[in-house]
Amino acid sequence: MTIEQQVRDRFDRATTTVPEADVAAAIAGGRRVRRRRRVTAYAVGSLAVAAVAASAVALPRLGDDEPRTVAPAHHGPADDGTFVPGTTVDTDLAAAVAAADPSLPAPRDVYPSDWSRDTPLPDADVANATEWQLVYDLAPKVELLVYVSVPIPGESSGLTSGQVVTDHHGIGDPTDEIWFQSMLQRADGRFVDVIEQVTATEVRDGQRLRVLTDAQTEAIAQAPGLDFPDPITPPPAP
Amino acid sequence: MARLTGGAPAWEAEYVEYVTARQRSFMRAAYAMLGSWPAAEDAVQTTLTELYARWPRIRGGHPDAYGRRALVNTCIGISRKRRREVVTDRVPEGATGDGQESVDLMDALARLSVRDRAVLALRYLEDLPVREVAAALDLPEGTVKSQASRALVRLEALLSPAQQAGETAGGNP
Repeated sequence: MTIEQQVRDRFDRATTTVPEADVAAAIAGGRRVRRRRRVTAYAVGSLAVAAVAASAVALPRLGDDEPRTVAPAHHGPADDGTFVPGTTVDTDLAAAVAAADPSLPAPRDVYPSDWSRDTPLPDADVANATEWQLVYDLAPKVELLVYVSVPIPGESSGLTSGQVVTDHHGIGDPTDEIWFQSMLQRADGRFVDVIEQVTATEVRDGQRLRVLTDAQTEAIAQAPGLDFPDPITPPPAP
Repeated sequence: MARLTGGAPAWEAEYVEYVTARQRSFMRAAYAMLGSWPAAEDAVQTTLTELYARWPRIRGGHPDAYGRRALVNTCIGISRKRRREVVTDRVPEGATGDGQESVDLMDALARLSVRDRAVLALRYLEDLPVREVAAALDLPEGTVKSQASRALVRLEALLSPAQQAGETAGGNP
């Protein structure tokens, strides 16, 4: 018997019982990844849209496989530093992030949204937000997205509650962004995603260009005060 | 923001069918590379999540090639992170209780580099042709052949050190 066959036989005997993957968790996790890619595509694309139009503009294939329509950028900060009238959630969130990392600049934008749309919520619907996002310009090719969300009913993330997970990975095919991402599902079930997005094609270039460290993104993910009221009338789960 | 339009996408059933059929193969390959079922489960879970996220793009192409590549990269990443743990975790948790022989195999595999384990897992344990192993590892086919050959020789020596020593000393033709 050849060594190849011996190895095969031994390995077959060692793997007669193989654990099953949790396909439902993989789907939930994959949905979250796709959702975040769309979110980020919006966050990046909104600047370009704001530059060319004051009305809704169709953007083809913003870094994913599905074309989508993107609304104009959110209106940005008012003179007093607020982003959404009628609430203090925007400034509270920005203050929570600033307390966790005083080195950060002021956010470029803070806006609420929900799981049914690709746009910020109208200001009048802010009480129904299922998520809030804060976008920071860290350097010419580096953005930070802090994304706080309530779980979609029935959603399973695959994360261990209270445990921050940090990873680095390329986005796009071919890769055109490197994400340095810290994810947390808190004990209350809510998610915090802190994503430093670097325009680069290689992880090592992303590492060179990035502004923050993993310790900083992890600290932001665990920042006290990253909260907003439960949505009063959330949209139906997608 | 909307995660997907109108709930589950139309291709999701196709994805489920694919991963249901392939998960055992992925799990075995990950186990061969990592030597631990919990680590293999983590690697496969990460890979399946990534496959889902990319499925609309890869479904019409070569999902096996993409999946294997993602799995290998994930296993290499996990292996690097837990290099010290692998040494103490090489006896698989929840092993099938089929005796010392399989433990010896995993023990021997654990002494190889993770890239050698990846080559062996794909080439000899999953019976993939060199071309597909090369695609999964992003290596030239010639490199896969030589790497697989050397890794196999090393594995053989680890599995049968006495026999190997005897053959060498005796100068068998």
